[in-house]
Amino acid sequence: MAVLLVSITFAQLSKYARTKNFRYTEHYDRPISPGNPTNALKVLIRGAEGQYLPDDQVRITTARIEHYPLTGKGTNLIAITPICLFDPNAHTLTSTDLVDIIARDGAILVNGSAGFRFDMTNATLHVSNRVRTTIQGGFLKPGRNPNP
Amino acid sequence: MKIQLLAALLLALGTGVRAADPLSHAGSTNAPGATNALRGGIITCEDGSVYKTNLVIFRKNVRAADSQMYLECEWLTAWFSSKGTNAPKPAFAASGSSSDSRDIDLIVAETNVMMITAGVQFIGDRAVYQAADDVLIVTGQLVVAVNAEGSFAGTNIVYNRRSGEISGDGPITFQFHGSLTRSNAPLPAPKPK
Repeated sequence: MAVLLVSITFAQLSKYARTKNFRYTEHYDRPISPGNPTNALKVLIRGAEGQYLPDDQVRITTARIEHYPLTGKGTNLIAITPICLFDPNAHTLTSTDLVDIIARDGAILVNGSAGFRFDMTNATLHVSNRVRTTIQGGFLKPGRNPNP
Repeated sequence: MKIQLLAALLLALGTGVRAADPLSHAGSTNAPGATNALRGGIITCEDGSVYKTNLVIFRKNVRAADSQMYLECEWLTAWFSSKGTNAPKPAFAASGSSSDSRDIDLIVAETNVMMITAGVQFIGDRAVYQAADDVLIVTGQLVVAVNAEGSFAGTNIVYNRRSGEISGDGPITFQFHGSLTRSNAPLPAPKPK
């Protein structure tokens, strides 16, 4: 009985625990290469603090989310936000706060001011209203128009 | 009393300045985009955006600008080349020209499209830019292209940026700007070989 009580208490404590230097990783199902059995890193989430909430979500402060391609070279996306909610079951990250995103190894810079939702399963990022995006190099090819 | 009035005036002025800056966060000097804005294209939109590995979608009241064009539309989609996804990019400070890092394959702008490029302005319902052949195709119920020579009206206008040619699929009405000068002077004689 005592063991049961202790285990329940421990479970409850760990349920709402706070951790410093929160870190979560998710890997691809496939290895990096046939010769390398290690599965490639897919997502790395780091935060100054992670607080486990009752609904199995984790509240992460000063979060940094990194999404890597299967090849392991470079980053598809890096998102930095003051606070976000991580749902390990749904594999999603949500926030209503500011977000700064660096995508395609710095080719795209995004400033969002009203939240985001990142679906880790299919690597889709929805940035909420009022988004400002900077694309390195511009949109069109360098002008060759003979009649400018 | 005068001091109170002055304080109220200053407070109202400060509030007004703040209200006139709707993108205060985006324009803040701490934002990473702000420092690099002049070296790349800037896109703003009202209704958020979606980012996938090789695809970006911007929704509602989209404004895009870079050194070569200005674009307004309601829905903008840009596809990026997959080959350059993980290629090392030169640092912003070190790159004198950013043309090497350009990896947009296709841009599709939809609904109330207005686009200004060097010398030509377009209005239409849908604009597709293919980077491979540097061609812009504008379609819609009424597509208008205006350049220094005149204005073209049709439903499908193709602008080849490489050659500067404007062509169309289907009937096109061309309105010539300016006047045709007439001269009675004799043609210059051919040069002796």
